[in-house]
Amino acid sequence: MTINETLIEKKFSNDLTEAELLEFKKLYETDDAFKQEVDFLKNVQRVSETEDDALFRNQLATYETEISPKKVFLNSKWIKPFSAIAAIFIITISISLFMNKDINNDSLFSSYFEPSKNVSAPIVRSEKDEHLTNRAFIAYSEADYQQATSLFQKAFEQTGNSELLLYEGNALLAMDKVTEAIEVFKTHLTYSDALTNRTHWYLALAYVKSDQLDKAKQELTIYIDSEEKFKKTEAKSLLKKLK
Amino acid sequence: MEHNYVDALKDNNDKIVRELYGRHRAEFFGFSRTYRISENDSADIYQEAFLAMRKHAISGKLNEVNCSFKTYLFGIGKYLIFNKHKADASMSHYNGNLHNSDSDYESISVDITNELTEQQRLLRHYFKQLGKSCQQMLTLSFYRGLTNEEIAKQYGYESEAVVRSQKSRCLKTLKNLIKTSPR
Repeated sequence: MTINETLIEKKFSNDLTEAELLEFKKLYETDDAFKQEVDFLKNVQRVSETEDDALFRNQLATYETEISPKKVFLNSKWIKPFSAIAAIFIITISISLFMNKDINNDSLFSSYFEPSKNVSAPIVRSEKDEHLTNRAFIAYSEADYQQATSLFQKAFEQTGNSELLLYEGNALLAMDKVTEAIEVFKTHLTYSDALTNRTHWYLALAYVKSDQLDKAKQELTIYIDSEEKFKKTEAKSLLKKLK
Repeated sequence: MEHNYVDALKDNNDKIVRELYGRHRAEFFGFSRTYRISENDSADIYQEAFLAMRKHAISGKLNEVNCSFKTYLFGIGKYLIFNKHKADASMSHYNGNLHNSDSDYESISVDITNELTEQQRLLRHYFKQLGKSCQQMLTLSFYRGLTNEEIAKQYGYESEAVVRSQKSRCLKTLKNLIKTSPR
């Protein structure tokens, strides 16, 4: 039996009608799966509240630090002329880029994409080693992307190591399976691991390849703003070309 | 109460919240001095009062309030100041006269947030392993109570359906993290 998700969604946004509320209460008392899901989401609610409060506290602490100790003021007489020069500069750049907007997305993709190097697990080449992750990386290093994709998928299911999703997405992208690659990259972005930020770069390339340029620009901007240093120059140059 | 301030608190509008924080800070510190609160403690109490106001904004409580933002903020502040004196009094002599200080502000009580249960603490551990966009999505849906349509509109998602699928993806990831944990 499937869980009534709409009813649950409405409950959490305080949007239930009286009749729906009665139905909700009845299901909560009689349907174990429904109750289990609601209780889980109530815990998610409480946890996200705690995290949100912590973020807000940090925000307030930043204001306090800015106000209380020696505050540095900018010499405001330079702000206006400087802003004007900056605005003219930006407009000039924008016009010149607009004039050269004739871009071939496929060749752009090819000039920037190379499958990610393995920075997660050193390969052990031994007949005895039957570890899925190791076998996946061996196939990947030999450009056997078909085999690598399936092994990465199984290895991820077995170990829960979310970094493997980056390589699975790369293998798919190398085989021109762009739609599938995008799905895998999106799943990787639901995790937070050492390689999550890099996925923004590869997702951007997948969007370029599939002519979804607005989304590509969005991913590149997130990537450039992140602390990741890998391919940063390339990301900036690609974003310039797309604008 | 001023609707734009309530919305700014709910939506975490950095510009407006920062401005409100700076605008009332000096007066609040002066106010708490009349209750013999040190500058350091004043800063803590002022921030706790802002946090409590934000919780009231999110729960919808502020929509039913007729007084101004400042009156409400100082009312909460006063409640927190009294609480602090009570807590300190349990460790030393309590001076009841402190509560007699004149002020224009009625004390406004704040609910005490219960600590996380063991199960919730564990869930928090996995929640923090989610990507930033997933943490935000789940917070908007389940804590702030936004509908899928509101999230799509306010946070630039293509449609309600995209929000729904992203949310379900995030919940799936969270459940997977719990399932594959070594514990």
